[in-house]
Amino acid sequence: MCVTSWQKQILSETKSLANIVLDMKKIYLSVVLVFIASWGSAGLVGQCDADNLSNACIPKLSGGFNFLKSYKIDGEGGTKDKVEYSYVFTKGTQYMINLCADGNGPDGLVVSLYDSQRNKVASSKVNGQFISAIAYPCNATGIYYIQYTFDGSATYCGGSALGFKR
Amino acid sequence: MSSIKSLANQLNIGQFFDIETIGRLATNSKNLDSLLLITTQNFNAINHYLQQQNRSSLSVLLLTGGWLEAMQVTCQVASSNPSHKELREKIGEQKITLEQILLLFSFYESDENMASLLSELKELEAAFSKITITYTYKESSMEVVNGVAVIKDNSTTTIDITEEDVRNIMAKTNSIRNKIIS
Repeated sequence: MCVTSWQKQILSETKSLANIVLDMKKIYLSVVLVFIASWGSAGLVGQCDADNLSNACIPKLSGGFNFLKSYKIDGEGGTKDKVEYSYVFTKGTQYMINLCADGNGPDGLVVSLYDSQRNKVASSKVNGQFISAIAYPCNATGIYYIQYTFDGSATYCGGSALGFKR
Repeated sequence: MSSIKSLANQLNIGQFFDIETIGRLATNSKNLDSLLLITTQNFNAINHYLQQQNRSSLSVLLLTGGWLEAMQVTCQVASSNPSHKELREKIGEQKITLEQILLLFSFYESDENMASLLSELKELEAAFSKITITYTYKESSMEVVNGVAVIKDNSTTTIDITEEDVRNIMAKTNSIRNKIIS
């Protein structure tokens, strides 16, 4: 009777130990799965689909502006602090440059326009507010530099479209 | 339209030209916005394709050809309206565009196919040399209207171009165009 009781106790403790080992395995497996999942999603977040975002910006050129060019903005996860393009603007023409990012707003993307002498003539950050588009009625023909920078951006990724109207 | 298709096929970029749609849009002036959108998107797609194919020089030639054609038409209209100051200025400001085209050509200096056109374009540049473009910078102002930052540009450019300059530019443009199409 005493032996049976002792055997039962051993059996019970063995079962408890087995359960603990099983639980630990589950926890370990869960941790590994979470790690793999987060690693994978981090990889996805790092990918910048600037092509899609710049194409999405084209139909957003409103108010009679005709599409001229779309631009990819890929800050390569923050390793680039700016992306720059150039374009010849002519006087008597109004230009619009818009911004597209994942989500509703421009996600910290800022477009600034510089003239041929590198004077800043326009910016989409006005009084600390991020604006999604700038309209520039050009009064001076010349080469202009369209510069995209990141100000607190989460993705460092976006697209932009340039349009014109007369 | 058939000439465009034939030329595009010979350059192996025929797949980008939906001649039927372009032809339909071109016949109605109300469709100019759509025509412009399609041709712009087409050129961007062709440019991307040619760069991938290591044939980017062809993009530059397409761009230059289009620009020369537009120049020729503008010069013809300007010569018929010599007192039209705005038209003359429009021709004069092409000096800046020509500078950019020459900059593009500088990447292909060793390309024999580009050399003769480059030489012609440098002669055209000489025809533009007398034109002066004066830029005066004044700080711009801006206001936000309906979620758009609307800029007020206070800078100006003045373009000094004479009727003789227009004639010289037209003569050189016609000469280049004739050599290309002959």
